[in-house]
Amino acid sequence: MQARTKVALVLAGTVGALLVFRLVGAFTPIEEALRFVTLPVARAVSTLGNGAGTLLHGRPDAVQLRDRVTELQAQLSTLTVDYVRLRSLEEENRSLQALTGYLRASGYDHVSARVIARSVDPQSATVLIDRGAKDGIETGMAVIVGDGVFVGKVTELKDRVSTVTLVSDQKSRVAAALSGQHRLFGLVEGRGNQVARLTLVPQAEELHSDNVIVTSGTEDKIPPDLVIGLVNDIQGKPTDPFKSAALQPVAQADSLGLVSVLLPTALRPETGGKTP
Amino acid sequence: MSLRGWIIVVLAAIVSALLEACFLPFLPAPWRDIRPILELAVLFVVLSSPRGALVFAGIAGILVDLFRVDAGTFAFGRYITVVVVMILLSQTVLTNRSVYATGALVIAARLVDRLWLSLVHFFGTSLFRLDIRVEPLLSFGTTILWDIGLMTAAFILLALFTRRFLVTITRHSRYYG
Repeated sequence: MQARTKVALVLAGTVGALLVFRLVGAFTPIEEALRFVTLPVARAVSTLGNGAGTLLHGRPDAVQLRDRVTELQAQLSTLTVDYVRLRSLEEENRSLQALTGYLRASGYDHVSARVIARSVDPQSATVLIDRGAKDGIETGMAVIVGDGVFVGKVTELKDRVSTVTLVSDQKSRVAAALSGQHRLFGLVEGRGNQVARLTLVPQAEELHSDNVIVTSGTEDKIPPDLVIGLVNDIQGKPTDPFKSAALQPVAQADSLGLVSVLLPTALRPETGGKTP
Repeated sequence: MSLRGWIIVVLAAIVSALLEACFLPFLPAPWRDIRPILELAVLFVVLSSPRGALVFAGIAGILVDLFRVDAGTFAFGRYITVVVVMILLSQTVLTNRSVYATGALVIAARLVDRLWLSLVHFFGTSLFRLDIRVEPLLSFGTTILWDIGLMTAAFILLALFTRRFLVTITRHSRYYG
């Protein structure tokens, strides 16, 4: 046997053995230690990447902007009616929130995290955040941006990082409700390319364009009333058992930089898992 | 290879891995389709530094594995395998050091890389139910175009500043007496 062939065989065997060891998790402690050392650098590089990405995305052209203005005007007229109705409720709500604070009232604490990597495949909307099991994060927890805009849930966990599957990912499924109804209404399914659909809505239910879709609260670790998106285009014949609709997610996946993972109070590390 | 050479290899591996995992995915298309690791690994092969290329691929693979988003791609093994195939190719088939051979080598590297990913995707999803995705063909095509463009530029710059690939032709003075 030639020396070159021997080397190639030994190398192939070594790589194969390493692959098996890795699949069974034999390298996890080493990986976690390396990740701990390199995480600050990765965080800095991803911040730079996010900034550069924002710059390079550029500005939309005039035609796109005109269409967007028309669309937003239509939404504004619908939302104005809702706004007046909600105004009185908001006043009442504000006084209550001032006393207790949003997070205490909802029973959820949060962990802020930075997006340090993301999938380049447009069908797969997943990001990596710089918080993991050691920060009290668990699989299935809700990830939000801003004032309660739902972007996805934690699907894979390591000690110091975790993977978040966004709403538009092809494998994402989120139980949804119509804003203000507090009951299961349908399912938000990701379709890739930053597109999501509201499906399995019973035909008897009323659904209109620009309805606000929120989380239903029926899933463990995901609280209700987190905004997912706005209903765009409703589909389904009257004879169909269910109807579906295109959903316009409120959060822009392209510009995700800082997110918050909602941590149920009962699962806070300092409480030791006891319910307060 | 000198100590300075090894330092360059390690630094290049760290920088290119961080770029590929944590910087470029945030950019819009077509910028996000640049994949510098294999390009630099092939460059080390072309510069007749197979050990450097292997160390580069190993370090970059480990770092990419730490910050990957999709599960189980095993970048460490993937890059090492691709570099080994490239070393064999550069010593047996594409033995000349021209800009065309460099382009052909980087395309071959990308194809071997995709073959590896497709195999892992096939076996990973069918046997272990792992979530492994192969990038769409459009992205792959754009990556190859970037590869060719960047490798050509790198080759020309190297030739220009280091005179590394210069073929010296002995000239004999003739006497027409």
